[in-house]
Amino acid sequence: MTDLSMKYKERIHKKLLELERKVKGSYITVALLGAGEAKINERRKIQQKLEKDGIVTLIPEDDFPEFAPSLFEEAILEKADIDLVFINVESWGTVAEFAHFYDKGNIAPKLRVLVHYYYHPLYGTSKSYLTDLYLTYLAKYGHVYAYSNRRGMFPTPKKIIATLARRYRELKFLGKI
Amino acid sequence: MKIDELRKKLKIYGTLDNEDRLNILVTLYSNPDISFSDLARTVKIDKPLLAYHIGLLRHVGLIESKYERSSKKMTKYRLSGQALKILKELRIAKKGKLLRKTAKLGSKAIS
Repeated sequence: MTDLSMKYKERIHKKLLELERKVKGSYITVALLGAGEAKINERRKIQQKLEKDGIVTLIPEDDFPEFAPSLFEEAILEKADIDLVFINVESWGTVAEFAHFYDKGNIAPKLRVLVHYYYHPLYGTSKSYLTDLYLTYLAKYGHVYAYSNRRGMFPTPKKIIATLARRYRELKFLGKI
Repeated sequence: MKIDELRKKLKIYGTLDNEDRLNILVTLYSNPDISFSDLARTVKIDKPLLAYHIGLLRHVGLIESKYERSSKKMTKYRLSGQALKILKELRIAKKGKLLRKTAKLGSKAIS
């Protein structure tokens, strides 16, 4: 790296630290994966909420429209500096994504899996293969969260994502991550 | 500065706190309306990763893309007004021009 580029990097980093101190939170980037067209508005609402809090929130279909998700998502999640990837397993597409990522060493630790409580291995009654896969993931990495679409015994996806992203940002700010 | 404005700036500076993305920004300054393939060749970043960086820079409002149908269909990228403001704020660019030393960086990889 040249001295000049070092100088710019330092200038940017210094400015970033100053801003982080002022907002009392770190810069984090999260991605929201979920069912396509039918439920994308739900993800957009969550995105609005997080963005307002200063959390960069990406929705692949909106932010990378030029590229087919199946061709580049894995490369991105593996190499890019995304902090958290929330995946709401609610369609065949997201089932395929989860099955593909669940044991990839560089992606799995970033994954936060949201499943309807019926399919959750501890709270639900489903005996499906997918529920069994959630149990494997839960035992190895943790981070399988049961949700309900209505307020009740389980929180909504919006509540889970916002709560976890905010706490992650605080932990990063305190240097605990 | 209001908290909303601070958070917006946090997102911008956090996005720029990455060597590849800073390099993309400087390259776009020197080469406005560049295509994805040409940008990939100039900055020497894997295409999937470049797509991510572009998506993120566009998301925080630092670059704009335009789909063109001339001889062949392609998307071209350029800096936004916001990015120009930030480059000036960082003293990387001045009065619409890159500082001479920075321009050299924009034509090749920054590192």
